[in-house]
Amino acid sequence: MADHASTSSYRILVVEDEEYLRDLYVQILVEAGYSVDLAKDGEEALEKMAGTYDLVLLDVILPKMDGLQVLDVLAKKGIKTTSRVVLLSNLGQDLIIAKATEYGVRGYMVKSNYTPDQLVREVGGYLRDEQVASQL
Amino acid sequence: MSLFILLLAIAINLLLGIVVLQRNLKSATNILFLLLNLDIALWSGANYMSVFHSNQENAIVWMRLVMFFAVPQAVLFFLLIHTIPSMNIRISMKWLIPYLAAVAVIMGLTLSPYVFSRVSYSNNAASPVVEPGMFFFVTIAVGSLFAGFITLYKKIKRAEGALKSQLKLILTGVIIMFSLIVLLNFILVALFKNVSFVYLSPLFTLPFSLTVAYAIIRHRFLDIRLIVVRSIAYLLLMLFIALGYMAILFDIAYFVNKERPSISSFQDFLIPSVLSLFFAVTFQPLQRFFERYTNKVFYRDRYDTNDLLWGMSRIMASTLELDEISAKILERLLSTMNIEYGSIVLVRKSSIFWVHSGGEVKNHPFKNTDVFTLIHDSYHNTPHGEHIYVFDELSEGKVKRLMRAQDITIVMPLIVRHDLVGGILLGGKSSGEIYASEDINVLKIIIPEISVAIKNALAYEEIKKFNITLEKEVHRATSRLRRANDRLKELDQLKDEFVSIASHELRTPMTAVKSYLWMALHMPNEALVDPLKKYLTISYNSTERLISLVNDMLTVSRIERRKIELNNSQIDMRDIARLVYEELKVTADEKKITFNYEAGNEALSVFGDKEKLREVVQNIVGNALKFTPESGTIQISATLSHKLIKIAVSDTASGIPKDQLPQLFKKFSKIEYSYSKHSSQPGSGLGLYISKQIVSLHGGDIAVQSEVGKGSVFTITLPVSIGSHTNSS
Repeated sequence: MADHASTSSYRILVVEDEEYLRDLYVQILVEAGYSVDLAKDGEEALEKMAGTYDLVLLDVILPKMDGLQVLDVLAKKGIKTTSRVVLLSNLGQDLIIAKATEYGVRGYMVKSNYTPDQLVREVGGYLRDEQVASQL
Repeated sequence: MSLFILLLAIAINLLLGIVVLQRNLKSATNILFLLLNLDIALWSGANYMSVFHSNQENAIVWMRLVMFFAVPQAVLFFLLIHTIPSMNIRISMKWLIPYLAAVAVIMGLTLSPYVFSRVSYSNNAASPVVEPGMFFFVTIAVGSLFAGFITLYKKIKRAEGALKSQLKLILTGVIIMFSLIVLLNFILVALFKNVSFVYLSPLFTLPFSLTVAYAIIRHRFLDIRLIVVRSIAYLLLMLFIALGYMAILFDIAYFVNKERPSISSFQDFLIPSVLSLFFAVTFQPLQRFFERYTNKVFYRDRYDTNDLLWGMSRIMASTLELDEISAKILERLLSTMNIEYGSIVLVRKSSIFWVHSGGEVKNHPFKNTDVFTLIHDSYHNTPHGEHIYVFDELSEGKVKRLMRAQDITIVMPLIVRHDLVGGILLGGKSSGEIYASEDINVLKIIIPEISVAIKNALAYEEIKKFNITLEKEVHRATSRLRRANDRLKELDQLKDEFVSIASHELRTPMTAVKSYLWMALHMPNEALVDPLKKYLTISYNSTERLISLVNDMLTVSRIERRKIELNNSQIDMRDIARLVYEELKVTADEKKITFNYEAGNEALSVFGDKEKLREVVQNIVGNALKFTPESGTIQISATLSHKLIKIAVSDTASGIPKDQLPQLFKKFSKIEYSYSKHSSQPGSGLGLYISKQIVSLHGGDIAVQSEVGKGSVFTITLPVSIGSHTNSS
């Protein structure tokens, strides 16, 4: 429960078009004590990312505008939020990973390789890393 | 004297007749010629007898015989002119029979008193008394002669080439014959009462007989014109020398002696000697001068042979282009020899594939098969290997017929080293003259040179064509390859996209299934009823398997498209082996398997992709765990020998039969798959294949040793990285 208290201050944006997965991520992340916001497509994600989130879980294949395009627009606007983005996709190609890394994303997760508890653990890890980084 | 002249004339006439007939026993022309000569001989004999050796009793008989033989002379003259040079008389029977019948009747008539009744003597000279029957004689004789002249004139107008020359020659003979007869037998005798040349009259028909004989035999090696021309030149020379000699001699003699010369003094001896010397010295240049002069007059077509040969050589050395060299050769040849037209023809196998023609081409296109036959025969079927067909020298037959049809006068094959390359075809001369022996000789000299030149040009042409074809072929093949390559790239990209989309589409629902199954299995505060928990667990494991199958297939696809990227760094294989060992220790313990790991103190440094190599080791050890029965042993060792790192995993599973070992590392390997089926956690059948590919990408290999009933040893070999090697040593 002490964990809960420390995590609740974090705001996470989940960008996911698949309803079942969106619900799942919201459920497990809220249970883990995070404050979670949602976006259903690329455009919505772009709007919401103007706000401040501690972590953005960004899907790659999305309606209207895909994840890489979102990153591209952000990079062109000079917004540095990409460092708080972790790609969460079922695409696992090395080329896409390499491209995403060029935009400076924090990490890349292949959805199907994670059980819910593993996912929460990973998210915790990214946030902890950032905290350490900002304290330094 | 007159008897000698008579006999000489008769002998020459008979000889000519026989020689001509021998050339061709069946030709009507030749037979008619013999008959005419025979008749002339008989007529000359009768004439001689009637003038010199007749008394009053038999004079009338000889005179009648003269008339008797005179009729066929005129008749045969007409028939011969009409027939020459054909094999058959060309007058239809409808006309010929009445004509010959009339001739026979009139010949009979000449022997009767109705033409000459008797002989009258005045001034000691005998002359016949003419009767009305003479009218018929005059009609048939003069009529036939006249018809002969008309025919000859018409024929000359119509004829071309060699025949024209022949007929002209005959006309010359006829004119000389009649001129002599009219001049010496008629004008001199009748007007000047001079009979001093009458005894020569048997010789007067000889110009005609000789020209006709030559025209019939007509062989270029007896080029009569050349003989005539040379003779005239020589006569002129002799005349000039004789006249000059005499004139100078007389003048000098007169100057020295002031009187007519008489050969009696030293001067008389000296002067002729000096003059002889003078003429001896001037003989050669004079002869040359007269020859040149007569040549100019008689041979307007004449050319300098050496000039032509030299010019030809220069043309042949000037170019290698087939069209150019052929055009130049033909142009030079035709203009120099005054030939109307000509063609150079090239043959291959049994057909003509190239023709170049020059001059005023009349008869084109050639009938190729006929021309080929001519060229082919001129190479293979000419007598004495002469390799030339001259139209005028051929006797009637297939070749002559073909040449007439194509209007060709000369055919010569182009031969290079016994191979028939082609042929040269030449038309007639523009002047209508026949080819002189000199022309033929020059042709025989230059044709071999032309053959070689043409063959070279042809070879050059072929090389050029081949190069162009080759270039085109290469270009075509290249662009085909380029298109194929573009298409392949396109397909490859489509495949990439497909794999990417498919994997995404498959994995998304599977993630949902997996995650919710996990959630169900991990619901807090509510213990699941036992069968339900079991079902959910099986579902969860199957989903996991499905996901790993998709992952493996994706990896295989990436490996095969070489799209896999190694995220290389310096790693220690001992760490990886230990990590896998620790991860799987729990599973081994559950199965009560003796699970060992050993490694030395030396770092086993590899420059490679840590995550992927870990997957490889995990796959190998995982397989061992899968197949090794409870209470078995699995041993992992990490060693370095000869700059090679070896991770060996030995198990005490059932082992793999030797014949199945080669199948082990293949895609969807049946053996791995069938073994997997026995396991509680069956694999995709891709694990070993992927592992081997990844190790290969690192420059290493995976090998296996196995014994059925005892177990297997899988050994991963990787090259040690250079940096680490120096560190460790």
